[in-house]
Amino acid sequence: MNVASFLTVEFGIKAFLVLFLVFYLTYALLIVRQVQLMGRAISSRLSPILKFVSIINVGFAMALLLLAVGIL
Amino acid sequence: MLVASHHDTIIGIMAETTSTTRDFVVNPIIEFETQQEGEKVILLLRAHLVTQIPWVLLVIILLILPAFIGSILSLVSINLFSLIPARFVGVITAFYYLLVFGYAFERFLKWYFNVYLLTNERIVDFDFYGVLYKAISDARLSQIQDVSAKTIGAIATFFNYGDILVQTAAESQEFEFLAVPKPDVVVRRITEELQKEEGEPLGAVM
Repeated sequence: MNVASFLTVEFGIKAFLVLFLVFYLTYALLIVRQVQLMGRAISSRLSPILKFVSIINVGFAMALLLLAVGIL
Repeated sequence: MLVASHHDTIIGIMAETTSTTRDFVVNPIIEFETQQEGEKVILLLRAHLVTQIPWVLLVIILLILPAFIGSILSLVSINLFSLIPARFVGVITAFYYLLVFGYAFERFLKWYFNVYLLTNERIVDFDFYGVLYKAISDARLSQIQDVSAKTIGAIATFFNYGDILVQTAAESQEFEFLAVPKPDVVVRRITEELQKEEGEPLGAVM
């Protein structure tokens, strides 16, 4: 296999996207955990909403990662 | 009479906020992890909303930036779409907005969970500096030695917010309530609770 043909601009962009989406997904998962812990430390009426938003954030990051890995 | 009238005004000011998502809440409906039986939260404080304007403006700019980026780059003869394959544009745009959302959400959490509480037993300081650092510290009212407030700058004076420094007994740490609204009211409320704790009538001279 020719290495030069494998290392195209498209491959570079895809690798960049996947790498940063993996970072973002890790960050999003940390936020979920932190919201859980802080929600336990100070619980108010907004705590479940914040938890829900943080989970949605993880969902979007995961969907984008799958899109970048699989479809593109 | 004057003292009583001033006190009533303060109570009036303090009674105006009930939502727990504000920066100054009297008798908030919240519970916290280390709350003891019979312990009542009197005041919940966060940084004044005005101090959050810079990041909110940044988020607004970041949200509308993609609409202009194409025309800005075309001014310097760069065609973005010739550099990036068309099928990547949608995902890159979605990722960009996800990053902006992540930034905004993290900043909101930082504001929302950086809370200072005054209860009838103690003061509690919840610190949340980003996703990797959190700290909870407290001091009993009986340990408090001095409470002072400072308001520095035109914006802080105009919007009436400032820092409150609570000094506690030697081996305990100092507490700083940063950029909290109505610092004078907060100091008075802490002093009142201290006097109640010590069993002195308000206004009594030692």
